[in-house]
Amino acid sequence: MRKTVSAPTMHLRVLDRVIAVEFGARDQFFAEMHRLWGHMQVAPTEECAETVPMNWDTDRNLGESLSLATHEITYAAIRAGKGRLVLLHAGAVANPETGATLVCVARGGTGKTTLTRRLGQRFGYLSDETVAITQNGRVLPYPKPLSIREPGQDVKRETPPGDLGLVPAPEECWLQSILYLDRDSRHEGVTFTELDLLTALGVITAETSSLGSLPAGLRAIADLVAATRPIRLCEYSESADLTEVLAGELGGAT
Amino acid sequence: MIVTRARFSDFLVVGDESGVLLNSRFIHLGQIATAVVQAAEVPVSITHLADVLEQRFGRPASLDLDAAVLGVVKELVAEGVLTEVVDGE
Repeated sequence: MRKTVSAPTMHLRVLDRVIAVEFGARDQFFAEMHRLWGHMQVAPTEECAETVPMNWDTDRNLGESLSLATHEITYAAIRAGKGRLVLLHAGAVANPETGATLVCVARGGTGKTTLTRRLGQRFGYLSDETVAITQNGRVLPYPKPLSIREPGQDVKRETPPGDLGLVPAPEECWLQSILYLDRDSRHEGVTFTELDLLTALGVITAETSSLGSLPAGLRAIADLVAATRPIRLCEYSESADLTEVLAGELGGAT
Repeated sequence: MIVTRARFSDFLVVGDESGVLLNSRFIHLGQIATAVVQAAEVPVSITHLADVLEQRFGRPASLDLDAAVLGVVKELVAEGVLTEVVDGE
């Protein structure tokens, strides 16, 4: 009788769903994926939202494959939240005692990872790229490996949050406030400007995923804002300065 | 010209202004455009829209109201917020 051999698989909790990541072989890539994503691994479950195949056949080197894997898993996370969650291109950290969460929305390449990495030394790390919020204000974790650009390297290095000393997020996290980050090296200090709702929606909408699939998506964001505080534009040049200001705002952790 | 709202994902009115979500594109509408979109929930003519705007904001002293409304409507059609209703639709 022929024995069926199932593909090597990791089950990851992304947001509030489980996805299966399927590999072609138990090779170095598979081992590295365990090192990078092991903190999000859960026991195999029948209720997988999706199976994400990683058994692509290419000549990519290991670093490129790991980077691509992060993108694929993030896309799966977005698909898992599509039509039911507010999905923002953002970093987020939470007060480890209260779960109060600060969401920092920003365009790509404008400092989300750097800021999240700094704040994550003291506050619970939720994500450096994709933040999902339920319509009642719960912030769902997606503590992916951080993609860090190193001098002289084209491909960002994927790094598990534990290796960077990031604090795990508490079980329940809830939205305290949303910031829209604008980093400008000419800016002096840190400036906050409260945005009226429509102006805020204008800037935030550009940094959402699948908002058009969420029933009454604008209303969903408006309700979150109404329940917390106005979205603020945060202009800064140095993430170290901003880290201290935001740490004071989140409070608690030292 | 008869127009009505396009199929947008969401329309949120805040005070006299509003925002429209077209797939993932956000368009911020001022008070005149908001009033037009509110009135165009069902197919409406330019003349009807001009009446609605005159009732709400008064008649502008030195402006051809119908021409001004037509200009706003054409802009909203170009942005994909309104759509022209052709015969048989």
